[in-house]
Amino acid sequence: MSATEGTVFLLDDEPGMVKALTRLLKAEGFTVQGFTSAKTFLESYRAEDLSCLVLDIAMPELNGLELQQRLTQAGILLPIVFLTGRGDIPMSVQAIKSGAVDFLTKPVKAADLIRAVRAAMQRAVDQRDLIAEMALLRERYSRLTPRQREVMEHVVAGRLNKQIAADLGTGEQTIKVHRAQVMEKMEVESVADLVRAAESLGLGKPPKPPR
Amino acid sequence: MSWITVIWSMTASACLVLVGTHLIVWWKRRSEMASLAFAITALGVAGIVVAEFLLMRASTPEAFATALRWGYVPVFVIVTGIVWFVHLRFHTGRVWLARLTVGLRLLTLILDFTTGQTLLHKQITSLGRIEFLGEPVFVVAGAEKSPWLFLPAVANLVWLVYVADATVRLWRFGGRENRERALRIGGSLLGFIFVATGFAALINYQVIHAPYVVSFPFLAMVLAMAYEQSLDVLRSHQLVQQLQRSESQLRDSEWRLNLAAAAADLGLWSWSAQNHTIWATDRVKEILGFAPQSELTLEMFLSQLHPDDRSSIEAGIVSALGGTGGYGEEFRILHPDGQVVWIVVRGEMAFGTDGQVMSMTGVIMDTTKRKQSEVEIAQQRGQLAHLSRVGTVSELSGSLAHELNQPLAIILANAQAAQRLLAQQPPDLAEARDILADIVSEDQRAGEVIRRLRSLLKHGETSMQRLSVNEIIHEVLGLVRNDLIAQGVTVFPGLAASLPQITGDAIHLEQVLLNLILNACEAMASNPPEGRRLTIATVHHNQAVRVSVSDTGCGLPPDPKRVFEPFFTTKKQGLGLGLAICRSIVEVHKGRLWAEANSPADGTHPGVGRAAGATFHLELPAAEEER
Repeated sequence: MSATEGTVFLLDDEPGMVKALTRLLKAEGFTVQGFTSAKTFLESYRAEDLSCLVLDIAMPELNGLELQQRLTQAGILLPIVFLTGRGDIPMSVQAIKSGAVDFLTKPVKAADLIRAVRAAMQRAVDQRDLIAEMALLRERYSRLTPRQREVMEHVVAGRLNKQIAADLGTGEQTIKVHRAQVMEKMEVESVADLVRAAESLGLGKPPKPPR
Repeated sequence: MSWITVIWSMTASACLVLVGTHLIVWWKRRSEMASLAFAITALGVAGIVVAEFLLMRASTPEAFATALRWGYVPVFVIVTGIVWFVHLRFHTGRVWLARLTVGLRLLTLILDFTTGQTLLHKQITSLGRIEFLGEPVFVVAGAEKSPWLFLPAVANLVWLVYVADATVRLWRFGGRENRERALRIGGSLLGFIFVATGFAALINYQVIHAPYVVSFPFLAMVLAMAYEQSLDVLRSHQLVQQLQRSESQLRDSEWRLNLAAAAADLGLWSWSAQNHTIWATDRVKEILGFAPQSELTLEMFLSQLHPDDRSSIEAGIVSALGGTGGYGEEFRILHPDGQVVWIVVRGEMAFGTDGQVMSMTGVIMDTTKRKQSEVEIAQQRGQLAHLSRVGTVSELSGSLAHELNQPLAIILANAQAAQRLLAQQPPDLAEARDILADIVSEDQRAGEVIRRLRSLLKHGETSMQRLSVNEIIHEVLGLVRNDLIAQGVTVFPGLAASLPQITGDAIHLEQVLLNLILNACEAMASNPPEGRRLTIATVHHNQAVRVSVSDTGCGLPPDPKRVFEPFFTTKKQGLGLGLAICRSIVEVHKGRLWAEANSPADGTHPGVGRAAGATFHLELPAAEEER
């Protein structure tokens, strides 16, 4: 995946700053869109696009940290790089804790900014990949029959075929067949992979069978 | 012993003594003509006494006639003397009457020597003898009357009229003190003259047969005159005493004046318009830088004036001389050794009866020390304002750093972008040119911030210029913009579109506005973000520009005036001098600064249900129209 895929959004109330950073990032090969007001940015932003945001904290009307909160509350996972004219520790800690990629102080060196933007885009890519992977897994999981899902649960819990057969009250051979079906449908080659897939899907541990 | 001899000799010598003493008086003081008049009169009386004596002892008609004839000479002398005396002493005698009297008596005298044997008789034929004081004396018994018999009576009458008229006029016009004199001397003169001349007339018309004894009433008259003269001497002695007393009072008063002047370190001076001389105490010359013994002239004074003040001082003097009031000015003089001295000169004018300036009298004071103190105080006030300004600016330091940071950050980003662009193949020169243009403008922006900061921190003299209030407000808002953003304060500007200019010092006025705005922000610090509203409005009101800074913060103490007191503060840190200094700056600008609490019913801040906050008003007088 190209490091320059996707759009870098710039939001700063200083038009001069937006212009300068746009030039810098464009020279580096990024696609850049600049905004001087949070309102116009929110109107243009579409969550499905691959993008990250370089955000100035000190803006009138809505400051950067508040915007970050609003995006989080709306469930928008947009990687943010904060820029600020005056950096103090509490502010930076709050920003990072709230999920920012980085916190830079102006005047910002080109190298630092580019590194942070790349990291942000990488996170965007990672996020996108993760979402895609999740979608795939869910689709595969939806192929399973209820019986197969049960079997998967027990397999993932580490039960032997014999034990599963006993738990579910069927024959071992039936279990073996189901197991193969699960592996095929989930498109995994090892139990370990199956376990990881299950974890990703958020499947909890099966209840212990009564003894 | 002959009583007649004794009495007449005594009378004559008494008269001669009086003649002698008053001649000496006149000789000593020639202007005292009254003394001469009196001496002459007394001499005349002495002559009458002698003539009477001879008449009484004349044994033959010829001797009698001769004595009688010569007797009219002293009569003439007496009349003239008395007329002159009255004229000199009363000043009310009618001159024509006096002349008439003297003229008639002269005529009488001439006729006396040119006609008949005597004036009264063409011919004396026989003498008679009468017992008088135990002795025989001679009187006229038979004579041929002269046609001029009436003349002496007429002349005497005119004489009486003159004296009576003079006396009456003195009574009426002389004033109270002269009434007594009129009564005394005028009355007695009249009385005695009447007796003498009446008696003489009676004898002349041979109504009674008696020797001429007119010398007694004349003597009495002379004594009355002597009394009047001696009173005069007494009076003049009293005047001398009074004069001495006045002189001693004057000396005392002068001593007191000098003491007061010395205590107040004043120099006293007096300029006479007539001879253009100046009387001045030594202190005056000391202050002006001259030697104490030198003669001070107006030219010398003017030559000491400081060249910068000279024309205005001279104009001031000229206008004071043209008016009726006093003169009071403070200005500089230059000593010969180059020392500059501040003096205050005050003077009052004295006018003559014709309304022209007669003299000007006044004081002069050396106020150099006081002026120096004033200068020092002004300097200290300036230093205090400067310190306060520096303190205020340091409150903004974070904001200002940010203000500088922005352009620097933009310049850096632009430059680094340009580096990349120029490294490309081919380099994007057009874009690079744009970048450089942006760098230049951002640099200028940074330069502006530094300029503003420098001008605020500069400690210079107040320079008054014509300014626009709206511009000052914009400048200040530019400085605090960042602070306002950081504190979440929203600004609502309400600046009037057209305002008259004011005269003031830009830096000091910015300091005041900065102070007001920062105070407003601090007052709203504990408000929720939506409740931090700062309103700045300008209005043209009544020949002045009014700036109102309104906040929605915690408001004022119950007595709003307290906030301007020095060392009054509600902040945890801070001296509480900011507003006191602001007020003194505003006063120097001849303006007003005051605070009002906003009323909760004020509809300007809807939706905020908290304390209504405060408004600070700054009013500055509009500058005069430029001609």
